[in-house]
Amino acid sequence: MLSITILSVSGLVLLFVGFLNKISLSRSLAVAGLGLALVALFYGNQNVLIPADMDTQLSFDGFALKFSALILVFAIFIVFLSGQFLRKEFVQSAEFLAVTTFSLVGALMLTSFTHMITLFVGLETLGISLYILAGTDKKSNASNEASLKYLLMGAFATGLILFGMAMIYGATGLLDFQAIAKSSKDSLDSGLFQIGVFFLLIGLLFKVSAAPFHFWSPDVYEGSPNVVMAFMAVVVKIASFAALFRVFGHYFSGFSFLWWDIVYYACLASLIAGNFLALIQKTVKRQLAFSSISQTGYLLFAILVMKGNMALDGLVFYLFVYGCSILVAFSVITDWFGTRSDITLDELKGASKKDDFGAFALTLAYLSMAGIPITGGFIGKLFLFSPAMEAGLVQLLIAGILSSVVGAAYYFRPIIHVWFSAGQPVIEKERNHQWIAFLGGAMLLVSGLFPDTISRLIAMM
Amino acid sequence: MNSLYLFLFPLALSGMAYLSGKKAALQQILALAGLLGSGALLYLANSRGLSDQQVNYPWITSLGIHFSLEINGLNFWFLALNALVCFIALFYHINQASKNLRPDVVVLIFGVQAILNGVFMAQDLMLFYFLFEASILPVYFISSRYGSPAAERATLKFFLYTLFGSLFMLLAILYLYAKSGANDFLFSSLFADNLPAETQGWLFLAFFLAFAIKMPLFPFHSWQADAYAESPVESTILMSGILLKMGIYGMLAIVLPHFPQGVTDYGHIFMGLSAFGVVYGALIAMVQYDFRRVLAFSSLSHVGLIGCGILAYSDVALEGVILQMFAHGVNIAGLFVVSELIASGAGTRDLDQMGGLSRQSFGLTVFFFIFLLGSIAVPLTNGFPGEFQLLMGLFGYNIYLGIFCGLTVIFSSVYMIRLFQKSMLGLETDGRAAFPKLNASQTFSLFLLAALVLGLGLYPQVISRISNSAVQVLLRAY
Repeated sequence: MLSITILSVSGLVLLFVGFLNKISLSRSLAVAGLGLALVALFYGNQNVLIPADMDTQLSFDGFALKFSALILVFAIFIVFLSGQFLRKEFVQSAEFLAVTTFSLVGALMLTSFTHMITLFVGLETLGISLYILAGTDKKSNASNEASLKYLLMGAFATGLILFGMAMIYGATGLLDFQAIAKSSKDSLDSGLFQIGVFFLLIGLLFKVSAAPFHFWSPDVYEGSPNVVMAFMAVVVKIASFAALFRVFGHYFSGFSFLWWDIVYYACLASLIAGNFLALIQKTVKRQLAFSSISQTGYLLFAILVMKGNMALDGLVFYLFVYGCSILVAFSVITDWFGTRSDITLDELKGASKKDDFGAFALTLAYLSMAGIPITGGFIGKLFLFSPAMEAGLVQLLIAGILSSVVGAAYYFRPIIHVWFSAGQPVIEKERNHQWIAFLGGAMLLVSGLFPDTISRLIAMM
Repeated sequence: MNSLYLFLFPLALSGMAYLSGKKAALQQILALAGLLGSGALLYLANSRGLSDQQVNYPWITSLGIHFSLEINGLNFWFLALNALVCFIALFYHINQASKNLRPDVVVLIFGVQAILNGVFMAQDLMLFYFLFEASILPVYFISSRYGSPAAERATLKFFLYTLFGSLFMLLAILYLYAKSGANDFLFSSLFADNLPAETQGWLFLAFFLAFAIKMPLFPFHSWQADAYAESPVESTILMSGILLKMGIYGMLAIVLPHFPQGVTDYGHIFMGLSAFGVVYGALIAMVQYDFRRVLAFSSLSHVGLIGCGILAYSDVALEGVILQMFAHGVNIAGLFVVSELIASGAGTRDLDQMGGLSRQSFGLTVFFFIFLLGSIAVPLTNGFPGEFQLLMGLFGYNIYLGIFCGLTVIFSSVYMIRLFQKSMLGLETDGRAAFPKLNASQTFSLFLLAALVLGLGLYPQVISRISNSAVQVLLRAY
């Protein structure tokens, strides 16, 4: 609660600070606001400035805390990453940061809603902010296209979700998820309710970019500025998964017969589509976009097994590791290519000759996404696969490991280019974000070699 | 505690190698320290009693995964071979490239040594898997970075191929864990004997696939020749000398005792296939013109025989497996070092363009001939007792299979002697760079290997004395 207040206020303050037009001041303020919100998560269960009846609509339980903390931590790093982009003359730094902060209000609501209205408000707050963020590179056609595409597709998904909610409300007369889960059998058996659940699920799968609802994500990811793509791949993914898990893994877990099959096939489709399509991509960002679809497939395992804390902590662990990999990859890419948005894989050739530390960090990030041991990605996959095996999802797991092999084939391409291919890369000398790469890379190794340190932290929340 | 030291010691050396950078003398000392230190740890472990050396720490508590290591009669010689082969690879690299030393290669080879020590000593199936898969990474990087231009492709194939196999093993491990109801992955708690026969069969196939690709057994060998031929010789030595032994070790330590039903149901099929591989590899080796490819296919042939011996599950054959595993590691490492010295002297690896090299380097010729004798298993060399026991075990299993595999005795001498003839004997070809003499370090490492070839040929009991009782334990389920 308190965190949401802090975020909203700091967003407003940032808008006013925009008059001064000082990038460093706005960035420090944004980081301070996010940091304060992060601290407040653990002290802030009291209601401040919020009407009492709102309290029932947002609940910062253990689940919400885990995801919110993850979101805020990554958001802070992404604000650090944004510096170079903000220095572009036509980008209004304060607006960018304010919108980012506002979007986090939505993200936090997505982790903690108990009510359909708060879910919807969260989705929209996050979504609308993102449509703006995707288009912040005003002079780039790709960025404008991404923004428009995202708006149209996102609005469509939102429509589906709203439609589903209306139907669920029509069937049960209730908006509170807890109450819906406990409502009478008659209303749950009605076709209206089942269609409602179906639409809600499709809409949310759209938001997490699961195949076959993934068509927007590669274009949007590619067109958006790099830092916005990192934000979408990490923060938005975490928030959307939190929402999906909260609705289906938690509140609606009682009627899994309604949605389980759909998630199963979406999972399968994401694994196959994401991994195979990533094989043929030529740019770094597009490849990461398809990889992100395949990662969605792995993450959906957690919703399929619904085994309480084990699957939940596994999901959080996986998201943490995935977030670190994306962060490392983008900090290295930003160091090498600045804010250029259309980096092809071939441009990475021979980069280790110019910056072997960055090449090493990038390698760790890709190894982790491929799930190779000594990096956290392997342990994350283990945490997701093990409950899935106990739930007897053998066929899905076989599909999962086969697509992992395909995954390794394309995750290794940047690694091969960076280390083994001959070439004189045109990369910049700036090393502003080395510390992020270092921290993220260290986290990937720590979570891969001593996963207990991270999973204890997650379990404690 | 020695098991833990054996894991940490190479890691520490790896760190020191990183700090030593391009100082060849320091690196050479580190390599020697690695051999002597590991040898001393193993010797002490043996004299103090192997059972006292285990360690067991919780590692990933939410899944009950332990960092559990143990030295026993089964893994003892694998560990010894690991120290030896890594030393040979290191020493070769440091001497050969003394002006242009690559510290990352040294660091990674020590890393391989540590990881492989972990693989051989792991008593927790998930730890085993973790290290088993991690072990490919360092070799992959050495091969791709310093191999020929074609190496990038060949080693990626090797990597993906082995990853493919080992991921099935991961599923099988998770399946065993889910079914056994145990809260840990320790070898001792994940037994399959209470599972239905069909399930055991599937589990056997999953584990077998992982190990058969690693060894490799026919028909899973297609990565091998390319990877061996295109990699720098350091990683070829590692791959052939010790990495493939992980497959043999996995078969012995996991497949044999845990899936007896699978071995008896499916074993004969794969035995037939790898017996075919024994002869196939030998025949292909006879017609290859690339020095390294001859050795790669000879390795396929030899390892195929070892694979047959494992699946024959008799104590004679299994003792032969341990003997032959060690002998193969020594011989193939020696042969690859020799082949590289010849190739760098002759400026080519093409057998047709070599000839008459014996007149240029007497020492090299003698060493080559000793390894060759070991490789074709002439009596009084280390290859003989192992191959003899393996074939005896196969004759006991099925006489026709025994006869078929026995062909390798003839064939291996054909291709090895052809190799020797084409390179060392005959007329000298023109336009060749001057052939360098062996220096002291090269002589030392080759002498070490040659001494093992002859020493173990005369006194193979050294090996079987330690491994004997462990081999008996493996067969308890049959």
